[in-house]
Amino acid sequence: MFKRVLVANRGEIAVRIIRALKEMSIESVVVYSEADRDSMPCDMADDKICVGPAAAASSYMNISQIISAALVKKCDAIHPGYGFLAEDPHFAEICESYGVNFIGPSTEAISLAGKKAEMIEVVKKKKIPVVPGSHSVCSDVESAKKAAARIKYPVIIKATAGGGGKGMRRADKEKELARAFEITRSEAEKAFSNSDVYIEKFLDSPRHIEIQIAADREGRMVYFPERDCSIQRNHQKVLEESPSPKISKKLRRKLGEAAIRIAKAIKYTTIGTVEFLVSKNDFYFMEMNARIQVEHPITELVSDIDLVKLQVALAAGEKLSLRQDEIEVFCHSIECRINSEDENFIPSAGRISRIVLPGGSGVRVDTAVRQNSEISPYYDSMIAKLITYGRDRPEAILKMKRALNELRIEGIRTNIDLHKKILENENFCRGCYSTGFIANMKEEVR
Amino acid sequence: MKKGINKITGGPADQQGNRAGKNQKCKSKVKGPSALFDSTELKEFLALLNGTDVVEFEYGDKGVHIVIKKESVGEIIGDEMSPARDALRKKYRIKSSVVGLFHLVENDIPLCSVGDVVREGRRLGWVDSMGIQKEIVAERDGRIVSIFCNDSGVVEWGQDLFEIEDV
Repeated sequence: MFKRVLVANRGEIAVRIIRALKEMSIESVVVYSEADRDSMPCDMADDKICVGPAAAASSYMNISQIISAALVKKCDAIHPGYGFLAEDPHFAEICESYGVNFIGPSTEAISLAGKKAEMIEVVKKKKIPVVPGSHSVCSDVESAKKAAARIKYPVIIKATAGGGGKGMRRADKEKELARAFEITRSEAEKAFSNSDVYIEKFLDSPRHIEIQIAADREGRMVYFPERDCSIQRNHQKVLEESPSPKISKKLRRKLGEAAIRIAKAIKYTTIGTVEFLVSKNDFYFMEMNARIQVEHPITELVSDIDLVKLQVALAAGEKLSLRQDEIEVFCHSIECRINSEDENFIPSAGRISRIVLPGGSGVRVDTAVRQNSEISPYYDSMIAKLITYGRDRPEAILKMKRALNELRIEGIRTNIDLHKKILENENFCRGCYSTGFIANMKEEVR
Repeated sequence: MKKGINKITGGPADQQGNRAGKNQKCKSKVKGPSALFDSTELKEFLALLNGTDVVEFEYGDKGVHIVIKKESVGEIIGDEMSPARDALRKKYRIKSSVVGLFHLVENDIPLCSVGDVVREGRRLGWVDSMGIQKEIVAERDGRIVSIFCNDSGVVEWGQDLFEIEDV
């Protein structure tokens, strides 16, 4: 097992990883930028090291400084968290070359999982349905137009290296395509240093369903109950729940088995997520994420498993002792992503003057913010995850309503009111929603 | 005090009531048999003088010539040891721009030490970051006031390495 792990991330996920490492008696060294000097992860970790100024490109995404930090602090592994370098195969490769274990899958698996167009080819070979699309990189607007004409509008242009809802643009007709194409390429280059894009059919009112998988180095794999991540805004998840209110046990098994086949095809190890779009009882492969996901807590609560500890153990070469028949749905769980943003979804920076976190039975809060925390404009606007769990969905919803009413964050704008509206929405309470839910609620929200 | 005092330079009257005149001076030598003081009295007189702002005392009478002068401890204002002058002297700090191991010693010889006067561009040390050596050089002429890290010490981004004052 690892002795000392460098936590190459910030915020709530850094706190989460540090907690798991403490429980495993593994020393933690957290990297931080100048802007995070007084942050909670710095207080909690066994050691810390400043790797650069506030800008992520110069600190949390600065590969040479992250690796150097691991070497000078004598860490034998690096946990990349999510975002930043978590799915950068170049980073994973450099870790390997310097003898530092990367807590994640192999460089090859990360690389392949990150190439959306190539993954679609892998999935098609396994006879698993994929969303109709170009299935290869569109090098220019003309090839994009040809693909879109074949698929039929509306279409969505996606960055092959994209993820987390970033690097996507919709085009409903041909005259919108050229502009959407160029903008997506430009955004992809800035965000992922890779401007490759491909085209997919835009499915109307699908559900975004994802399957968590875990795998050891000897090919043992299991899948966990699905997460329904359909409540999204601009392709970014806002609220997630598990299990999905509209997925049958039979469909769950089909999705789970499909996810395992895909993961095995690319020799995937540790933990990861396979995302699908589901329309009635049809499902289509969307993408694979080779990292711990933001919404992992709901799976942890539903299946009573610590996914971060499992990830570290699998990365250290331990065998997966969990069997598929041992994985059950023990409860229902919901997660609300609390973002520092105003009612128009514009990020809100500032100092938190007062914070009151909810508690009680069935409530969990994952956060790194506290009184006087400075929310800077340099990083993602998500500042906390509010998670509830109950015997069934109505109980989980009830607890979430209570928890949202207890939650107080002052000094910055947040989307707490948006979540309250979602939880009061009749369609949501009936489980009748799709990826267009928030867009339909927009006027009501405003 | 017996008569014969002909020069006193100083401020207001001393304890004996002697007042300094404008152009009077005292010197520090004593010549001839001391008809003015015996040794005990001399010591007492010197102690007395010390408590005043008289800086010179000269006495001469019938072969006895006494000059007592207080040594100046030197002017504070404008001296190199002056805190005021120190504050005016510009200082700057060299910080590490990388994470790595700081090196000050090369081939068992320190590249610099506290107190060294260095010229602009002088190599002071380096930080080894993943095998790449990031040279640390003086930004301008100055004297090394502090070295904040030991040789082979771990440094983080932004950590102070040297403080140098202008000369």
